[in-house]
Amino acid sequence: MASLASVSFQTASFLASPASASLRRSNSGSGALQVSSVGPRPCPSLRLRFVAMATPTDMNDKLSQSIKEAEEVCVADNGSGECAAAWDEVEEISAEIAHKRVKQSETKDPLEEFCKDAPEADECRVYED
Amino acid sequence: MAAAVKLTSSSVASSPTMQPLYLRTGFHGSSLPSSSFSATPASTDSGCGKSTFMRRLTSVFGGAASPPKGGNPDSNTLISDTTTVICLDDYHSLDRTGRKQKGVTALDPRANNFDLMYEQVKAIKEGKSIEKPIYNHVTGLLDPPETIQPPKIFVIEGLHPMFDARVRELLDFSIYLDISDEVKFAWKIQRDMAERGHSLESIKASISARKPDFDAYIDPQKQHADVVIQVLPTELIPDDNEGKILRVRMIMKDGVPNFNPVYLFDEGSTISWIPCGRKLTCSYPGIKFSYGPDVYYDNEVSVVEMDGQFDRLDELIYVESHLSNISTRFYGEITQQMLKHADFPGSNNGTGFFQTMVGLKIREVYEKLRAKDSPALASAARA
Repeated sequence: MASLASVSFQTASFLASPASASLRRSNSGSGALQVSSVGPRPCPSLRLRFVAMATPTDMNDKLSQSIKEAEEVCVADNGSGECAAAWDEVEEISAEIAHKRVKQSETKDPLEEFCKDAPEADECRVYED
Repeated sequence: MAAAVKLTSSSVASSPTMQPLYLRTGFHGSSLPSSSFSATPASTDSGCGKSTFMRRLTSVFGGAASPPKGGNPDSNTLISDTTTVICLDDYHSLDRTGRKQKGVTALDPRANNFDLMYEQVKAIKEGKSIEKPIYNHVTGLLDPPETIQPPKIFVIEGLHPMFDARVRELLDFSIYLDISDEVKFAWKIQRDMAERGHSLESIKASISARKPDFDAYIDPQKQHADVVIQVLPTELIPDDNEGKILRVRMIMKDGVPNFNPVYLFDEGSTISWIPCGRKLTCSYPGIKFSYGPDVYYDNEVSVVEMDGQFDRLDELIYVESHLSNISTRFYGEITQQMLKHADFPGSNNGTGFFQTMVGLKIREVYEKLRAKDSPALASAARA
């Protein structure tokens, strides 16, 4: 169980920074994982979290900004096209954030996601023994 | 169980095969043309491709739908073995900045390129691939186009699938999701309230600022839809404003080629049915069905309504077994689909139930079109 946890740990940090660590699944021994990483990794779980949340944070900033804008635009004329367009932007960004949130909750394992698009990559190889 | 089996067979036997003459220019192409379907709008009237409804539809057709491989990560397209779903936001003629400068919402036809939409849907129906623009919902910009190959089943989803008469003519079947103001408000609070910057006031302001355009350009499209799914607050609990229990109505146009409306017990009668009783125990507030003929925008329609929600598996299968013309391939197919996606919103109420049924109906329409299409192609080859 402990080794399993470390697998997804390290691969996650690999995905986050492709150049920093290289992973190879060993076909010798009992199928244990060998990590040829440069130096110790201080806090990989934090890294994973950061990467996963990156886009929604940007979108959240955009959302607060567009809500503020819409409120300002509509003070002048509540029924104007500009006011409607400003709130329309708020709706669009809100919907996109919601979609991203759903998508993120569906994404189970970052390694699985990566390997779906790149089955030939070293870290996606599967050895029978 | 024996009774249930009997019911299924009766529902199969009672679905007469309607064979009206339905010719389409698309059928004369050399490659097999696509059938096109449309749905509007997504649950909260913006954004698409990722909606629960589309995932239910593609699941009924078999195979999981995923975005195009190796393409733009912000593509709005979903592709499965048989089906491609495109998002009509991709036909925005004005990007986010352009709309703001001109004071035009995405709901406004002036923000959309209907000529291109028509040309491309037509091309797909003729079996030709298209270079479809991508509207990027993250950046609000129009990205370089992606190539879309003609699929067996082509679904267009978005704000205006039935707005342009030329596009409408190309559709083999169309669906409109009609969310009442009360439910829309409840859903948006649920979706947005936790987001930084949003408040009850901003959610209200956003809905009311967009409402004139919504009423002018989006809402009228429902008169053209073959099926309208209306989502309303429950009537089982007096003065309920929680928005958790829903009353959902499936309004089905009569006389649509290849489409036989679902009915309850006796086709054409007016029926009110509470399945909960001695045979089936339901928890509060129970389940209530009704069925009957009606008129909707001057069209003859059949309406099946469900108020309440399913709390247990046996309730779902019991109800499914009492409905007729549901176009399932085997006993309990709707229940199976609902269980498969139990995590999707609406899986315990009429929204998921009717969306799944519409999926089965679209599959049937497609199969009937195919059946008619194949001999036509064969005879053309001989000549």
